[in-house]
Amino acid sequence: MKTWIVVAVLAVLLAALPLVGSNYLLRIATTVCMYTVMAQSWNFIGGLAGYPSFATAAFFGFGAYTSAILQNHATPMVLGWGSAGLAALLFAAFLGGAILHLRGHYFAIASLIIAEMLREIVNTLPDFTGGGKGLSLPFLRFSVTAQAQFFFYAMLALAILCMAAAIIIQHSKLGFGLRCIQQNEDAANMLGINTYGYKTAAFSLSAVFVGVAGAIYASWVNYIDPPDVFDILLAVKPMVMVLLGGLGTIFGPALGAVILLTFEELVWRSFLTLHAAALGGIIVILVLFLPNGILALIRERFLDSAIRGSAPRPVDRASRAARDREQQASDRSLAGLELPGFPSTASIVTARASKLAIAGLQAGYGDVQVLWDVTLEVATGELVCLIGSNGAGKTTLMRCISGLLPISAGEILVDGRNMTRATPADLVRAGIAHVPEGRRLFSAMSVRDNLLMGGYLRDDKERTADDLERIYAVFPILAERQRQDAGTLSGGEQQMCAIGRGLMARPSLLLIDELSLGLAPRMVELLSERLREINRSGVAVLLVEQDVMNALELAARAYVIDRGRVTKVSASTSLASDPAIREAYMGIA
Amino acid sequence: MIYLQIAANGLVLGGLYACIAVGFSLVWGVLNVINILHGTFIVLGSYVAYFAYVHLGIHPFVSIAIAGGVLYALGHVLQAGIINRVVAAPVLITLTLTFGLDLILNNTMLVAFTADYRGITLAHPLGSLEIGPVFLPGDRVAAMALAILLTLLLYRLLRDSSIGRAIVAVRMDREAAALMGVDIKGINAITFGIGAFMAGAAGALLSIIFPISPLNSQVFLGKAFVVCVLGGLGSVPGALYGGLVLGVIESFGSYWIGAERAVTLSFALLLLVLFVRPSGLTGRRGYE
Repeated sequence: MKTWIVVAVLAVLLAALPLVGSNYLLRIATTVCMYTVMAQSWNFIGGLAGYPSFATAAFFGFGAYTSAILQNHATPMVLGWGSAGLAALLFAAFLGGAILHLRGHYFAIASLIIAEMLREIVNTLPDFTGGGKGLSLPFLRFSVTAQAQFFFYAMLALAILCMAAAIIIQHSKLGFGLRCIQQNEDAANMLGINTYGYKTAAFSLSAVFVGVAGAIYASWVNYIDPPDVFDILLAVKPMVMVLLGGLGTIFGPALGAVILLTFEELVWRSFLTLHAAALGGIIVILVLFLPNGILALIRERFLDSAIRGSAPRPVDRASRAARDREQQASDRSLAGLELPGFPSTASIVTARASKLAIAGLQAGYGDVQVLWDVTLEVATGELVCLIGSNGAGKTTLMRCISGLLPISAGEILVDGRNMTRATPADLVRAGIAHVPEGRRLFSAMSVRDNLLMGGYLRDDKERTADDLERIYAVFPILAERQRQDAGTLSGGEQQMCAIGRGLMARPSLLLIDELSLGLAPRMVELLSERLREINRSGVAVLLVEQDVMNALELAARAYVIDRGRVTKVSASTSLASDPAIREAYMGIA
Repeated sequence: MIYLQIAANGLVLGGLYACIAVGFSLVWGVLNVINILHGTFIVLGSYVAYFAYVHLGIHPFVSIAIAGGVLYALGHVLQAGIINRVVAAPVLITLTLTFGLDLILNNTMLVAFTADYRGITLAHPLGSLEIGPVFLPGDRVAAMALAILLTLLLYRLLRDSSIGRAIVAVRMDREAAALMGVDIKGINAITFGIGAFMAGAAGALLSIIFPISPLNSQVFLGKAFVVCVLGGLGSVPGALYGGLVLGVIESFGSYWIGAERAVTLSFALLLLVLFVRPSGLTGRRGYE
């Protein structure tokens, strides 16, 4: 309701403009209304549905030419405008059927080319469209001032109509569906949203008002030619306006139009020859520093502080504390798994120097914290395993160790050096190689190239070649298949390749995320044997493994991780006989 | 046989198209960025060759290295300084950013060099080549040969060098590449630089064939689009194949329906391919 009132007030204020403004001001106001229509229209497909359309210029020119041709064949002006809107709508619906199955860049390109196609078609049909010479429209027989006012009111009415449509759609099922598509189209599809229909509706909506705007523009300026009405900037400026004002909002596009056009009038007039560069400069600054638009900035700066009070948001801290308590309560409910005062890692780790030591690590994705106060240690040459159920945070921990995921608190020491903020490359240099979950081979590269990628940071060519031979000796099948694409290997062979790739970095600690997942028992046996050999050669291993029995057999020590916390650490043999572990992870009472 | 002549013209043109598109395709494939600047990069390469020829008498074929080097530096700096900051953002953002950068660069060129069409008239042209019934200007053939040579060199670079493997690895799996110790942002900058190098080199080659003006950048960008979609994204052989196909189609199109409509024809072809096979005619998501 509030939105409607704001629109109504703005409309009344603007409608009074001709009483006070000069013709010059009216011309600018008409342009603002025109671009508001175009920006708001683009927002339907680009902002709500998230499809980067460049078709605005095509619809604009299409509308302009349709109306101009009709009027030159004795159609009354306003009827010509209406027909232009209808024609643009049908054109977009037809076009949508052809290109809306494309996503991302492909859609952008296809939509970009439509204006070019129309421009060429106009050029090649001179008898009908005037070709490159352009097309004049019938003259209007009233005074200059009356004309200025007439076209201003026409554009204003169209802008109000377009905003009304935007408000209605925002709160409708269509608006909801489009936002779903923007967030995750596949999920929207599975939810039963007719994505194709919704997208086509949004695309058609983005055309109809623009078509009318083009038609009014043609009557207003009285003469059109292809470079003018199919100008690529007619597609880009509305996008920039929406980005400037705020994607997917009601007033953002209008606000963006006002700001950009004001800027254009005030500044560019003095730099006529550099006017495209100035627009480019605005775009670059906008994308780099204001990615959510001005409305979002205003909301952040002023509204948030007004509502929530000053920075470090207390709301969040309170909710985090509540989450903490909940977590602890649920941990306690896991009877049996929790030992009163379980031994600290320090007392268990052998006298050997520690290769990797993690203390008090907290990490997560966005607002969701996954790891809570994790402390873990791997001694030089040790084989340690990490067990826990799905979603316990094992992979997240591995990603933190390799520097893929920044941690929010805690410390990571490698050989006693603090590597808490290190990059993945630093960690490889410090002797830590990560064999990721799902193996993540470069599937269209050969086996040999995959292995060479493992040694990417090394510059000792000869020893790299020796190591390659050594890995072929450990896994002879890789030597046989070294020219094959890694994607063609069987699951077990891929795991060998992934381990080999890790070893090529000459690590002193190998992180392995899921050794046996999805592999046949015989393959698991073989890989386990090889892993033991690798460990015996002096490489420490931190193994994440869903097959708990196998993990405990391989490792000397084991950590149990549950809901993001280390709940137990002990020698594997004692864990293997622990009834709670046997019940929780092996299904043996 | 007129058709042989038309096909030969098309192939010569196509080799150059491949060189125009291959850098664009590489950047698209590895960075997932549509580089709207590519057309302007090509024109800038032509200007470098033009001024080197007019003022220093350096043959445009030699200028390949100069133009490529200048453009590499520009591309590397742009990616490292600006585009890397938003490289993981949605399509709309990166596309808009390169569009904005293109407006700046193209407008600057327009002011600095004016929109006048310039051209290089070689003092010692290579004469024409006669193979059976087919006549071809020697300089064009040489330019095409160099264009294809450059394209093949890029292919070897990606396949056989450590940097090349890292580029391909980033294209396939950014995170896994990071785990190998690859500096992703650094590879981004190098890749964008190589894309710009290829544009600059192509520009130097084109300077002896097409008129030079900032207004031409959109034409070249359009060709790069079409070749990429025809040949499949991000693959060097795909660009070569797409370039040759486009060259031949345009050549026959000009003969049958006139040169102006040939442009429309190539765009219509693009829409058709997008409609039927969005992954390009070659299908397989390419290696390089």
